[in-house]
Amino acid sequence: MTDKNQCPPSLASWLLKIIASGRDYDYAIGDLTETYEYIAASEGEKRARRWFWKEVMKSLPGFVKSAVYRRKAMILNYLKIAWRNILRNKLFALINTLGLAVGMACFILITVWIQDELNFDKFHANRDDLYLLTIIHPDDVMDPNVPYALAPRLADEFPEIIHYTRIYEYGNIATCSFKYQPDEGLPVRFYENNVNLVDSSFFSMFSFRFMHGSPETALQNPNSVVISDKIATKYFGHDNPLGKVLTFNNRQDLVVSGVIHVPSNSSIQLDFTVLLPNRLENDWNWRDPSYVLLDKNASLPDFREKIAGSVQKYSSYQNAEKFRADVLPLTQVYLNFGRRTYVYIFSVIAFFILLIACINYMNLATASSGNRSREVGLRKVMGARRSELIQQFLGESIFLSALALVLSLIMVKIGLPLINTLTSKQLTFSLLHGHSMYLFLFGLIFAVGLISGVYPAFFLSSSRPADSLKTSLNIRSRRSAFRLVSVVGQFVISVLLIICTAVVFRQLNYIQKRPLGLSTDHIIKVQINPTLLNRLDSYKDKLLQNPRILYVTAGQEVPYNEDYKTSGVEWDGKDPELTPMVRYTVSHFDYIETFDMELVDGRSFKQNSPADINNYVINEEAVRYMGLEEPVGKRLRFWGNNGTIIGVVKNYHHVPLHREIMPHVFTINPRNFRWLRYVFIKIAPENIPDTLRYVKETSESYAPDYPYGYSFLDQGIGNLYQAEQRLGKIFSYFAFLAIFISCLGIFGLASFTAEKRTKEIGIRKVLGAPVSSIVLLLSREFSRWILLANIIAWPLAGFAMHKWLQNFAYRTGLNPFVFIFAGVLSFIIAALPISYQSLKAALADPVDSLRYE
Amino acid sequence: MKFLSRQEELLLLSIWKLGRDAYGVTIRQHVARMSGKYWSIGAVYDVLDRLTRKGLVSTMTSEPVKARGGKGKRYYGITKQGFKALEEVRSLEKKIWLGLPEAAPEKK
Repeated sequence: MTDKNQCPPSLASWLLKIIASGRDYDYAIGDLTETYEYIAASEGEKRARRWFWKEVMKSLPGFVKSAVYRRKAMILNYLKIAWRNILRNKLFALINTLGLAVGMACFILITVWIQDELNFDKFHANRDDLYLLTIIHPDDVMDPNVPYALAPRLADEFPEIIHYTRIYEYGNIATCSFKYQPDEGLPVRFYENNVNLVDSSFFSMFSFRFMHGSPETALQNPNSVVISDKIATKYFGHDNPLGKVLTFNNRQDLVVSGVIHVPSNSSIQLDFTVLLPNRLENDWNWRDPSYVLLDKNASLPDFREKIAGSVQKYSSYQNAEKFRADVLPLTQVYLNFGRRTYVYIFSVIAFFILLIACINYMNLATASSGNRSREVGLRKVMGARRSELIQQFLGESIFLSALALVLSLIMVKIGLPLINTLTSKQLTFSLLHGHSMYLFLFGLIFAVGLISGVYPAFFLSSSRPADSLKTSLNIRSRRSAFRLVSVVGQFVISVLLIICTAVVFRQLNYIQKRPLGLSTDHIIKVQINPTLLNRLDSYKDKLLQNPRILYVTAGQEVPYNEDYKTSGVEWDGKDPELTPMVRYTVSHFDYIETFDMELVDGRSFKQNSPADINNYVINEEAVRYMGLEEPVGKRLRFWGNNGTIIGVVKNYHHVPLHREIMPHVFTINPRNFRWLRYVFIKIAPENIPDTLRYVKETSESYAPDYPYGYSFLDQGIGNLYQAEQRLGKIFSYFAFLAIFISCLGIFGLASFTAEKRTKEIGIRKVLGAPVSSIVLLLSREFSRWILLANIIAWPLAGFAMHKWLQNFAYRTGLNPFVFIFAGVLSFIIAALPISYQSLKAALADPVDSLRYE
Repeated sequence: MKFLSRQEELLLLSIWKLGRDAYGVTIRQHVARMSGKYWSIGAVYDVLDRLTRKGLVSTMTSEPVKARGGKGKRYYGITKQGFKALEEVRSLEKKIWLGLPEAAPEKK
């Protein structure tokens, strides 16, 4: 055994030494060490270490108590002095507490948010054994949607899979309406989007809480439906929903067999859950999420290796060997698809804002050290040890940070609802509860107190009594290096946040203003239901009888967010090795005209021309992708249907601007009309209410058995960029807070400098200096600092935002104007407190400041 | 004068019993054995400090010992006042137990 191993844990001993300091406690530490060595010899190093830590933790309260008791008089004196100092420098105390409180409030709020993000999907009892099946594409992109046949095949071959379930997100691709007919009164009818078909093992894999019914019996029957508690209230009010009948699309009766509660921090959100019919066992084309429950004892790396080649083994894909099957732990699913970056970004921001507040304390405490140096000197003369002085100053900063915490808790209380609306979450502070909450809060007090207090404590206690008692002059110069670094640091962070906010908003503005290549003005969408679908032609004709209705068409999804992809397409001269991937639109006639898409070649589908049923229109990107020279007239085979390309539309943005425009095929084959979900109606800008009424009446007369719902198309565009809008807002709040705290600090510093130089200013004024030159004199130093901060922050922000912009296929450049704007803004913001203080000093009557000389 | 607390009494008796070998480690072991409970070092010293302040025990610090991470031991011994305090608690106990029925009523 080496010497090092025989020593008790060094961190714990250090902690003990700090708390139980003073030579009196050497023997207690000795006792601990002796017992530690005894345990280490008899029971092993590991147990001894654990014992030592436990012992130290348990002993601390006792040591602190007796240390406080022994030095009661001294501590009372420290408190008195601390209180007097607060009273003497009310402004500094206010700035410090306010800054620390705001910083802590930010930190607590962000911690609560991060806690919630990290807790996603943790409520399942099987959370550690649940995995999402994924397919890794040749370009290393992880696809969470896998073919329906994959999970059953794997389960047959590998005994490690205890259960599997596929989630057929039916509501995303087809119209779903539900009707509940109470015993008396009108039926309750709604369209629903969140309708999922799952395998029977679903509820034994996931632990959703059943408010009614039980997980074992809920999905035994193909006519059973499990609904969420929200849906239960929506349809049945306060009645017991069990056994009630919901009619699906007016043709199938489903009996409610269970009501579940789906927490907001679940990545699987369920409104309606129905048993998945078995007919998809061999389907390699449809893709949706599949989950597996693995045996606890199975080795994950082995399993991953075993399944990797299964796409090649089972499927008939071309190039199947390039697709790799894999699994992703359920607990990482949420973070993995986009959230992790945000967790990192906000952790860093939380830390920085707290740091800014701590720096304020350091600056103000060291800047005002002149006021304390006599006290320190006198204490030293009276025999105070340096360690005692350090303790005193650390105690002061911890005291102040405790005060700030109380204030910050009030701010958190006010801020939580704000954060909740911003993130549409239901965060509560009780996310941390019991012991861990107290541990967190006390940890925060001590961490903030120590970080902000350590430097001032060492600095203040270092002054030599002989110097400090003689005169309080000439101690200004030697600490300016530290202050330079810290103030510049603060402003670097602030400028960084300003630039980030500006770039996020510019990018948002850019993607929202960028022409989509199609028109969404005055277009409404009306949900299609089976009845309407059967009479679509006559419905269209009826609508078009109104002169204010210009075009009527139908499609699957709004054209600016349409992401249906297929590989079922072939064309003349296609490379047989290629597994094509194209987007497609199943549409009705007049689709291209309704959205005013521009044709660059050929023609659009001709109204009611039977020949056009097998013809296709493609976009420019598809022409490029397929490598066609003269696209019009070329043959194209789509889902097994031979036809001809008759036209080419100019590229338009069919997916959000994060992503490139992809090859796209339009078909109007009535065979696919069952996938139509919306009627799109272009109306004239005049007399809109009348037109809307006409549409409503027509729709209701055509499909009286279904609910009617409509919305304007352009309203939906904003929702595409909700995540970015939130990010922009949150950034701007944090930027504001960071600037606020930094300004508090610089305000304090400026006032301190002005105060220090009162006499100098007085003399200068007496000698005839104008006010302007004095203001300039006082602000020059700060201006230099802020300039330096900008020079440091610019490349950092440029790098970070360049990375962020890579998320977008279409993006603004980094305009130098943004940087200059941030620079100017930081100058103006900093100039306000500084010039206020300098003006006050410059305008003061020199008679007052020079009176004592 | 205030009576000793139970903890103080336990520690005083341990120190008495340990005689010349009463320091932190041994006192803690002894007290833990007697009371059947776990005592942390901090808890032991909290009480020892109180006893010292009241003058019921005297202390003597030994030279640093290498085995203890270079720290010394602090030995404790009972003072006259300490004995007196113990005696007081004992006579108090006697007095309040006196006259009670011989066998305590058994619990069912």
